[in-house]
Amino acid sequence: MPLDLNLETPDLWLALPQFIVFGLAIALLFGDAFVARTRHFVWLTGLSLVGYLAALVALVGQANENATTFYGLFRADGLTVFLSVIILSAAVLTVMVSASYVERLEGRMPIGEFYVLLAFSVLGAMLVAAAGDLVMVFVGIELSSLATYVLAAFAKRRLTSVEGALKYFLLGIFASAILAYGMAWVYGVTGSTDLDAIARSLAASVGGDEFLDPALLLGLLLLTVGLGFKMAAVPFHFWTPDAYDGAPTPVTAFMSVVPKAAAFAATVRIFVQALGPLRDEWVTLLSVLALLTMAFGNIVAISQRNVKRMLAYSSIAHTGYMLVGLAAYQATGGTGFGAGAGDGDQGVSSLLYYILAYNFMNIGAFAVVTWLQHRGRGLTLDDFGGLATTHPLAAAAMAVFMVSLMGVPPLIGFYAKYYVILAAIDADLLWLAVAVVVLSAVSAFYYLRLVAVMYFNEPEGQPRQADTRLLDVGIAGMVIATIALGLFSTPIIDLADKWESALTVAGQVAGR
Amino acid sequence: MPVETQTLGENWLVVGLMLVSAFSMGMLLLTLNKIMAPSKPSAAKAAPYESGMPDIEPVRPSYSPRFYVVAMLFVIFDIEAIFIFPWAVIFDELGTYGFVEMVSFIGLLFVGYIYAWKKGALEWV
Repeated sequence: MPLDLNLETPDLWLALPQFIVFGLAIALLFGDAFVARTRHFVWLTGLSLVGYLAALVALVGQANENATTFYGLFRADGLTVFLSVIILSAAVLTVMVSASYVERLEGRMPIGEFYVLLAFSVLGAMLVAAAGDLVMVFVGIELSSLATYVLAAFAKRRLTSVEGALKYFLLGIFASAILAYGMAWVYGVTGSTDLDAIARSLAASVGGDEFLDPALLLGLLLLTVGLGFKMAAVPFHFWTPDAYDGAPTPVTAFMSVVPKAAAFAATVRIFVQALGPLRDEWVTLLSVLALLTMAFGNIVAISQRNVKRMLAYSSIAHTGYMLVGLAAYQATGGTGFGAGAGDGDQGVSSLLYYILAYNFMNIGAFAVVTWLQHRGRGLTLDDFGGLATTHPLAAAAMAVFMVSLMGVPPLIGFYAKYYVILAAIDADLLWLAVAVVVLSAVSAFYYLRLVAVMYFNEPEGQPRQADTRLLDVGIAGMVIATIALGLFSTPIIDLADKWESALTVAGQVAGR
Repeated sequence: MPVETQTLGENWLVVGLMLVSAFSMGMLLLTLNKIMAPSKPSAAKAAPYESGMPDIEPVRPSYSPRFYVVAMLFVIFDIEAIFIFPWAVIFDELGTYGFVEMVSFIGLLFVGYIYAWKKGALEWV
């Protein structure tokens, strides 16, 4: 029997930013193998920065696009663009933060391999953001995770690094298995792995209170568990403190943003785009998870004396705030925060803005920790004592990041929480909005304690001198972003509102 | 075929029942085993089976990870062969597009091969 193969050539230009990052990874691989070791630091750092910035520029070509290629596997829409901006800017910042750390601290780690793994992890996260198919989501998450596991173990001579990475690896692959199992159930019920086709199939069967397969709910539950592990939501967070504490500090900065962004990208793609008709089911699940995550992260962070562990628990708490944004998804469609606020669907827009804000302030906080490690200080709270007298600028930067993580106007963290709370109130989730406010007040304790230690304690020991120009520029950039992007949040939230183009197919069929 | 009508709450009940019954069944069997099975451990029972050898050295010796590198390289080329077989069978139907796809796939593996070679993964010391 002759096969009927209708193979059209995919539109390669549509995926240009992703191809640039892929080319960058290959170029770094060759650079690592063929460039002399003494030139690695300058050449490969420069190549990475140029590559990520070129990909950011190429994203302009995807703006206002709403197209799919590679037989539905790849989607270029508002969601792809916004998440790719976040992921690529996190990549640029990570390169700036990590270059001198990898080269000089912890016994001179191989910088070429570091950049190669970083590029593959970034590529995986970007592919999740652009996925139009369950299989693509899974492959992207795996590509991103596998590279991150190795990065977490990069300081291989330090046992805590290996220990944290092993826990991360074991729980991560366990979560991947659960995720794949959940996808299998969804595929079994709907008969397709294409996100839009799943939405169409569900919209036809779910309308009203008709028969709904319990197998589908089991799939939903498994997907929630798998994605919960990846985004470090309570009660699936157990790997987080050890992995974040053990990994080299710049890797921790990266791990706390990009895999989390990838996990939320997968959640939006799967839950909102494909399982949108099941909204009532998963919104309940996610709002409970959000409350647990916020409460646990904030309360446990109070008792931490190690700043990296404190930031790990704080990042768990921030996962909770992001989940509030997702739980506020209403499936009503509409304009989001744009024209005529109050009647649109604001949940996902607020989530996207929150990840962007979190990107700058969290990598910033870890960058200052890295900066201090270069100057011979440790990671405990006492090591930050008197920072304001010895290094006033670093102390000021850290204070900005802490206050922003806490959510004080006019910094970016305040606007992020503001939009999330607005979306939650609009979705009649008043109790969650109240929880965000109350738990932010709890978080003030440990964020402000660090600021107080820096400004009111006496410095101990003589600081070491170090030349970290790229890191200095990165921290300065993040301080400016933390202040400016909050003040000028309107264009950003308008850009975030464009995520809705991802819903075109599902929206038309479901009649929403 | 009459379609059963259930509310969403009842569906969650089914999932919950399944989880509870699976959990309690597992716990029940393990607990029964613990309570009812006779347990009389002795040194002879803990020894290896009569045809096995007693340990003469620690069971976790150190070995060269180089072995793994070669094994991994083997797997990569094994996978390549697995992909090339079905492609070769329907080569005519796939046409130019299929040819380009396979060339880029092999090209990527070749990049990895060059990297492994340059990094000394193929050197036996």
